[in-house]
Amino acid sequence: MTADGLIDLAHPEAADWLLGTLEPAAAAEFGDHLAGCGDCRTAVAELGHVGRVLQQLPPTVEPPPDLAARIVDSVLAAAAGDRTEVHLPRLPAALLAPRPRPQAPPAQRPLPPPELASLYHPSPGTRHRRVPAARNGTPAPAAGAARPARRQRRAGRYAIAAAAAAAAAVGLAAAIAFLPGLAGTTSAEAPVIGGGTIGAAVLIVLHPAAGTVSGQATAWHLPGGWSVRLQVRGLGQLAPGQYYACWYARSGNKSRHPVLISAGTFSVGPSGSADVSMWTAADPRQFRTMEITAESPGDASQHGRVILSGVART
Amino acid sequence: MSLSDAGARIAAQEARLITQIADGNLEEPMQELCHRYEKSLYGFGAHILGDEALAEVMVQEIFQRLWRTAGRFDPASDSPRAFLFGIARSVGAEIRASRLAGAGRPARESSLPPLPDSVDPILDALAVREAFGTLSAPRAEVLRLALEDGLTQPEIAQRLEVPLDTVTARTLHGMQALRAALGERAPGERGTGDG
Repeated sequence: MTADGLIDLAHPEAADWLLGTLEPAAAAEFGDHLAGCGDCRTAVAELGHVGRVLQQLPPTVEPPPDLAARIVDSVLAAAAGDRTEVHLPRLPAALLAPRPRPQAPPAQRPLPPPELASLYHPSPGTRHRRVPAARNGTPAPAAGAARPARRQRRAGRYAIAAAAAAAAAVGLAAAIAFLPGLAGTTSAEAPVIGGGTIGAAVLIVLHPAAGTVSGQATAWHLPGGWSVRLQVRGLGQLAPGQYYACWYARSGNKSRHPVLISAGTFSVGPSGSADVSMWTAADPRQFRTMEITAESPGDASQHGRVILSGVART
Repeated sequence: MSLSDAGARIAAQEARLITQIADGNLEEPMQELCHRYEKSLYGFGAHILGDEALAEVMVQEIFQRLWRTAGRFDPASDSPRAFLFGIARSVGAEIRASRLAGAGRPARESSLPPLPDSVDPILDALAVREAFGTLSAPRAEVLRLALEDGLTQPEIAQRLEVPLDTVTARTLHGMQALRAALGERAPGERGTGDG
């Protein structure tokens, strides 16, 4: 390696050549000069690589200003979620021990796929509210119901594989991501997804109606629907029997009567945080608004108090 | 103080941060590591995924995985930077694999940029860009004038009203400092975590 002082002996043309600022004619001349000038040869040999890197620097991309805060929040929510009970367990915990299902029956109701539905443990008495009819009296949400049956069967068969791939891809839990075989899922293993594919990823940053509550959701498009990971922080513990609900909303026929689809229900422990995975047919690119509400059982006609809301970034 | 001393001190600091995370002390170490790495990880993600929304998901996932795997970090043998970029490479590869699995789908769903034979050039560029921020102002200034405005050494000397030899010394010493950043990245990082 050259001592610091020696590089000072190189000619200015060496610096220009290294940074690509020499005119073509001068560059040819410098080529000749190089043959007879050891100092310039040293500089070029020593700094040629970094010069090429500098000349090819890609344009800068800046992360969104709130990304770091959201990352910290989501890790804290995940960590707190690990220590508190969550009604909707994270997907991979169940994927670790899937029940054998040699012949998945054709899905009568499109979603959630049976394997995934069994993962949910909604609050007592709330199961019927999972995908309720729209609140404004229009027929039940069309997002999943309108899908052709054939596609649904296929979706059911691939749901677990695709969900596993999604789990590996987005790492819903490290346990799955680091299982042998799934660890470092690469293109060689990609065919496990079969006909399925992970399409769009949609991010929804949730803002509080009041207070210091925060949250975000990431929705991944999988065959047959959307896998949604919701992370919230700072939620209050509710009275016994009450629970939080997550809704997709889009504007309906009448203003002030949005079409709502339930994405699931959950509760939080003393930490006020939760990290839950949910499954829904609602396309967040259409149902762009997500709301987290506090609900009381038994009153399906009344939309609960909105705690957090956000709009999908598309 | 030499550059490699500074690098070793930063590595030791960051190793402590990761160890704290492994011990369950999350908030401040996470904030600090996010602050230090989100830009370069985001840049890395945007380049290999060709999509800033995916890059955002990727960076989030990297830090989730950092939290879950911090216990495997061995300060004696791992470089914190290599550890993080090792995670970044596998997360990036997984996201790419998931997206490319849909190759038969409409083009817009698999519109990933071709992956270079090696991600090393991307990492080199990121390391150099980061090191740029540590250059002294006079060195950074002459390099910027050359790279962004395409000025030659004599033109820079004229613009800054500084002797030509001084401009060249600043340029070459600046490049030496940047090269040191590449050198520090190289041994630990190359070939780490590449599934």
